[in-house]
Amino acid sequence: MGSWPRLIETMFWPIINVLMLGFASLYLVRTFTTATVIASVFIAGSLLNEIMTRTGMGMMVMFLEEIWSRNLGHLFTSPLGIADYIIGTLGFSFMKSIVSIGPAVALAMVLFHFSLFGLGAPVIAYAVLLIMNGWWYGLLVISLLLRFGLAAEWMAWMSLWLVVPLVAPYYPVAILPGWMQIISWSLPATYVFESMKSLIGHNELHGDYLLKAFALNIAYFIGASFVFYRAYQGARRRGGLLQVGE
Amino acid sequence: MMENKIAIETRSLRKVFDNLVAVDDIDLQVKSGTVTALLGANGAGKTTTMAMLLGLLQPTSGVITIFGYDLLKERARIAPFTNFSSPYVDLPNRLTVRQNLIVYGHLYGIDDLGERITELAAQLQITDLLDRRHGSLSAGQRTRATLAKSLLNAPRLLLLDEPTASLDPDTADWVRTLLMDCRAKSGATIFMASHNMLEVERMCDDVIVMKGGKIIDRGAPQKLIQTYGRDNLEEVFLDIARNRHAP
Repeated sequence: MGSWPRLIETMFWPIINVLMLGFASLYLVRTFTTATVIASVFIAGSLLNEIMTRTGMGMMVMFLEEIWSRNLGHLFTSPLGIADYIIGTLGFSFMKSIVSIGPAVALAMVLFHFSLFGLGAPVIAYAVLLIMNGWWYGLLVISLLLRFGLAAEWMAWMSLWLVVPLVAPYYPVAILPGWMQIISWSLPATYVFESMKSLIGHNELHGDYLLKAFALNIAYFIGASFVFYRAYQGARRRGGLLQVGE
Repeated sequence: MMENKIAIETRSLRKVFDNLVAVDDIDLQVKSGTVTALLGANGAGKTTTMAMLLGLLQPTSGVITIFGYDLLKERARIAPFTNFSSPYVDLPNRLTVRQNLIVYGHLYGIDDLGERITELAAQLQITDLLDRRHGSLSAGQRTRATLAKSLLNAPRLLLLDEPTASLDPDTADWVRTLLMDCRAKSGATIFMASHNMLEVERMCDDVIVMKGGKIIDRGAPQKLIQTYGRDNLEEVFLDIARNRHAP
């Protein structure tokens, strides 16, 4: 976060995504008179989706950097406990997510006259729930890296985007095939995006969706913590903390 | 705690990877304030033993105590007064030397951190490197920067893996002198793995020789040289590696 190239890289992809979806939305609005809602869903979905993925990515990149620099041995022989390390990654990924999304939110206001804050107070709940979603997902990705080392790096990057089509940021879950809907409804972010679409399209919040997303996030976070702890213990048994980069 | 005369103790320490016994029921004691070397050919079990002493590798069975604390159960109490350095474990390349030392200084809870960094930088002659990125340093400079990290908390126990690997003879000699000075000033216990026999002869009070996961010999460097009837430790090492036992 301390270097300009990294800061620019962090902000770059959210800006590109909001530009592409923003211009596509402008095209829809100018071509079809009923497309205003769809356009808003595209832009809001893009921005909120970035919050979720950037949080998970922030955690993953932080861990990858320790592997790339072969620093894990120093870290885990210092007084830093594993719980301290995780709390640190959660905090860092939260900050990184907020910093990365800021310029894209501003650009959406300037270019497309769309304010994420126009959704009102619920946008805070959406952001919190999506950050929570990014946290447990990031923990699972780190567990994958702890288990398989850099050999699984490609899988880690890929898995960050794997859930995006399933949580339906730009379209209703009902569009998905039946079996995909079952998976989709098991993911907390799906409820957030459904609530967002309902709020934009019908001015209905669906508070029950937000409660379900919160409960699912808590359950998944507990599960992901357990998976992470097992992966960490496994790495200590195999010597992976010294050799995870090789 | 600091009065404990035994810095490191292992009892029936064993590590098995799948079917390979890497460390086979070793019992060792390292006295506080000594410099002890762990010797052995590749695959002897040195790295595995070192990793277990660092708490990075969980033993299959056995007990490790550091200054009387059980490493497996009380790592949080041990970590503040131990430290280590290895050429195979590095510091973040994109941070400057100073930033790395600040991060680790905070992790070790060092008081007057700025002063401590200035003092160590002068001692290790890295003052002019403090604001350079770790990744831009030469191998010798990196070793000194990593040593600065390992000395930040004035450790009572310093674990060193190949402390002078990849250093030119001049820098290596300089590092050895520095470590001996640190030990003389602080009374720290140094436990090191090394393939450099001259280094071991010069620095160590005690040598532990491992082979096939077991401790097969132990003693002061001169005593081992005499026992094997050799002129130096390198010849002793070759005798052991090639199964030529002591007369």
